[in-house]
Amino acid sequence: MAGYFTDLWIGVTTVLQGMWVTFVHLFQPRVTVQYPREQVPMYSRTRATLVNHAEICGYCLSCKRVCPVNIFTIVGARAETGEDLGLLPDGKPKKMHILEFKIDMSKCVYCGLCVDACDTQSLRWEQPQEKPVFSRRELLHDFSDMTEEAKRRVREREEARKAAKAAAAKAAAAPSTPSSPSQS
Amino acid sequence: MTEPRELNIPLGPLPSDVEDVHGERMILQMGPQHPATHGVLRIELETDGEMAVRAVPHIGYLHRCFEKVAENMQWPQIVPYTDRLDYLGSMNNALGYVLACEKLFGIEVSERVRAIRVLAAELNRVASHLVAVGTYGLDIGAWTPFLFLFQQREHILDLFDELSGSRLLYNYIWIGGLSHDLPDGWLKKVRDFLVYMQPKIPELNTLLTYNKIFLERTGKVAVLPAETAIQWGVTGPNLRGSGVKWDLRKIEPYSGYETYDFEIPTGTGEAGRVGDCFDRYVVRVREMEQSLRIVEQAVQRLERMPADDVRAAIPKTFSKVPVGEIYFRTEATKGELGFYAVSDGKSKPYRLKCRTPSFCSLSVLSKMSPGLLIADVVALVGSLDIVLGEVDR
Amino acid sequence: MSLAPLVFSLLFVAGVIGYIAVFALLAIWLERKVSAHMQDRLGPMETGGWHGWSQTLADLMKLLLKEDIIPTAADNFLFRVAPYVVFVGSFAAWAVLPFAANLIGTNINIGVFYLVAVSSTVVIGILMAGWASNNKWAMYGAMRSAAQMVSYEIPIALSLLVPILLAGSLSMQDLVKIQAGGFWHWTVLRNFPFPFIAFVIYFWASLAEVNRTPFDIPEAESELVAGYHVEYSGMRFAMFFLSEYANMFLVSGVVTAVFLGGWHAPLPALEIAAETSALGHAITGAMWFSIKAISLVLLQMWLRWTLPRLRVDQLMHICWKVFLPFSFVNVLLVSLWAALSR
Repeated sequence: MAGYFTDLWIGVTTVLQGMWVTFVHLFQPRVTVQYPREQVPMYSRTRATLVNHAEICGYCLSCKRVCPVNIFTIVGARAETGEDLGLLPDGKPKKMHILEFKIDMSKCVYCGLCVDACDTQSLRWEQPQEKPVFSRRELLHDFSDMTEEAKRRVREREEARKAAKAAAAKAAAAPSTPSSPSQS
Repeated sequence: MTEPRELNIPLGPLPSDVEDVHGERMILQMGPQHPATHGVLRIELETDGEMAVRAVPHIGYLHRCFEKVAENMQWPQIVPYTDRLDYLGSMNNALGYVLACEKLFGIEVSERVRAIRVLAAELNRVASHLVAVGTYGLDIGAWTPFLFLFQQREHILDLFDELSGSRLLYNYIWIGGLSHDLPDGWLKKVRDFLVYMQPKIPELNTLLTYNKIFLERTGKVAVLPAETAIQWGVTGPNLRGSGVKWDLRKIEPYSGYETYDFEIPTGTGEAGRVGDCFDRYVVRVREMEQSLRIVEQAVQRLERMPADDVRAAIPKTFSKVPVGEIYFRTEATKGELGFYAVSDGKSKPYRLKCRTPSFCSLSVLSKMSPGLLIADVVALVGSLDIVLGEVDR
Repeated sequence: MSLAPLVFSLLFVAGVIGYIAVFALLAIWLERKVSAHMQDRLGPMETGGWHGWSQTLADLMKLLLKEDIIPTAADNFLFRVAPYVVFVGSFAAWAVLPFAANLIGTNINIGVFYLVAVSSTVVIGILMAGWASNNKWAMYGAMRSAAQMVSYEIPIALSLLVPILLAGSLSMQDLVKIQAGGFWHWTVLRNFPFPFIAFVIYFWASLAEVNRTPFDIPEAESELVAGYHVEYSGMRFAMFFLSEYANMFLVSGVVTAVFLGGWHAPLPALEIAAETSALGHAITGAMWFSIKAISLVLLQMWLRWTLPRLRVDQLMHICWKVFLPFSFVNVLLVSLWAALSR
């Protein structure tokens, strides 16, 4: 019987205490950040979006090797001797054209292993441009810094070089008998 | 070797259902989409009126083949995958895996790295328990504590954002060290957070923990006896709620936990019976307090330690690692998280098995449900604090 | 048959529908704002400019434009009719709410009896909704709601007996008239503490009638996803929502009328009697009535955002083992007091 009344008393007092807590909170300042009128703080390490600065990319492919989900498609071409592509941050000359540097952000898990692996720091985390997209295709970013004209020239040069190499390899493989195969 | 015990759980329709077409029993699906099942979990509930007669959890909706993927990833590439097991307590998952690898490969890290790891893991434990406690209040019907606790959690997530670059899935604890050193001024922010958090847990206690309605809803409900918990492999706050003082941080300390001063809260039957839902809940609240104590001690140490390179012990390459196998267990936020790694010397593990605490906690649901009202089943699932990422892997 | 009463009734009905609509719009906005500020947030801020005042209007537009989905296996007729039964159950009871001495739908001499009887027809609508949805979860919500509402009728009726005993009449206007003169004459403060206990019990039991937390088991959102109205969308759902808020105001209005002085001002100096200026009295009376009723609605909202939910059997325990004995003993003691003081 006593339990009945103590339960009731505890019920009433705890309800009132709870109501006091919410009442006090009614007058406390809000914690909402009214985005986009107010900005949310972002830090320098925040993994917002990947950006590759191809002019200092050394084509080491460490990012591609270390990525757990294979989001990188990187195609490069060696520069000709005499062609000046600029210098990498460590002073050495840049030796590779970056024809394609595609990152599929729709697959990225934002782990950051690629940014850490990049030794020229061309691949970085940067603040997002706040552009949501309407199709997944737009999440496939290409960071090549070459013009279409330049890419075409380099690609044609590569094709020619490969064809020449293939022809040379074929000529070297077959024994050099200039005479006709059958001599009757 | 004891004989395997006969399990008394009917795993299909009971014979009476077939004949009893107009019976009173109803089979309900607390389906994969349900506000109270903490993720994509399907509970097949057979009820007799309001009372549940049988509850069978169906899992697998979040299975992502973690163990198979791990066989195709190099050792350090697996760390982002471990983050996604218990996504609310990523630091602890990564810590468990990394410590297993370090022990297998014979890598020693500096004391500073160990202290930072403990700091991160304990802050993450607080964040995870804030979610557990907040969503539990939500299951019981109290809306407001949920929002208060999530706001407090925001501060922790901001701290982690500044530390590692990400709010929830950190990829911060690496094999042999850490990915980044502490940013400038970060320890001060952690101290500010500790001051901010001081009055919050007493406020939670006033609003929710000792509210009579909450005590009625969770007290004496779904009692898990200690013996049953141990038999079913339940660990973590669920086991401690049943009165068993078992915490791997004290029993098999790792990463320097033996040098910290903290207590292990256990369930004492405050709301009626030892091992009821309230005990499991209150153990989490008290664990938050203890974790904050550990964080304070870790911050004090780190302030005094000279700076060093947190990547010093990371191996240059993982292409040739020692051969061997190891089972290493840590006290993750939900219980004993064990990694069984088999290395055959190559850069990818031969086998990586992960023993997760939520899997065992969930399995005990089918044992405890018969006899509970539906509202109690919801209270039980909430008190077990399962994360489906861990259950399904 | 003279036309004037008929015209007045029709005007009153239109007025009440308008009042309910405006009140619901205001109350839903207020609920969101109050809950937000209690939770350190902001609530609606964008729609309409100043603190999102037209958020509810926007939601109403959205609900009106939604596709009308009726589950295939649902009982069509019952499904369609259920929201209106629920609405009518609470709307009809507004006829006896005394907004002012000269502003009441119909001043029947069994006002309270009529009120309690008609507002309990809401249960039928809820059961219809739960059954017709062809959804086990909805069925659960409906059954719980039926049990809850039917049980809580008893403490409600018993606690309403106390002011009836003090006033000697069942008519709502009579119950208000005995509270004239200032707030110390209000029923809640007379013959202390018995009407006060009746007030507390009636308030809590009315929370159960309206399915508000801590008695919102029928709509237990985290268990049953929305209980009996889970299959409803669009305008039908809006109807349920509207009836919930209409019901909230109804029970608050009854508490105001019966315990808190009705349309009387708290101080006699602020009162405008019906005899001096009919229109002035109607307006100020309705104003005082609304202020008090809306404060009680705010109190209901405050409780909703503070307390967890009771389980069904605990709810029943509170009704039958706490409210019923207390209200029963209360009635006995008040009768004794009234008899002895005569």
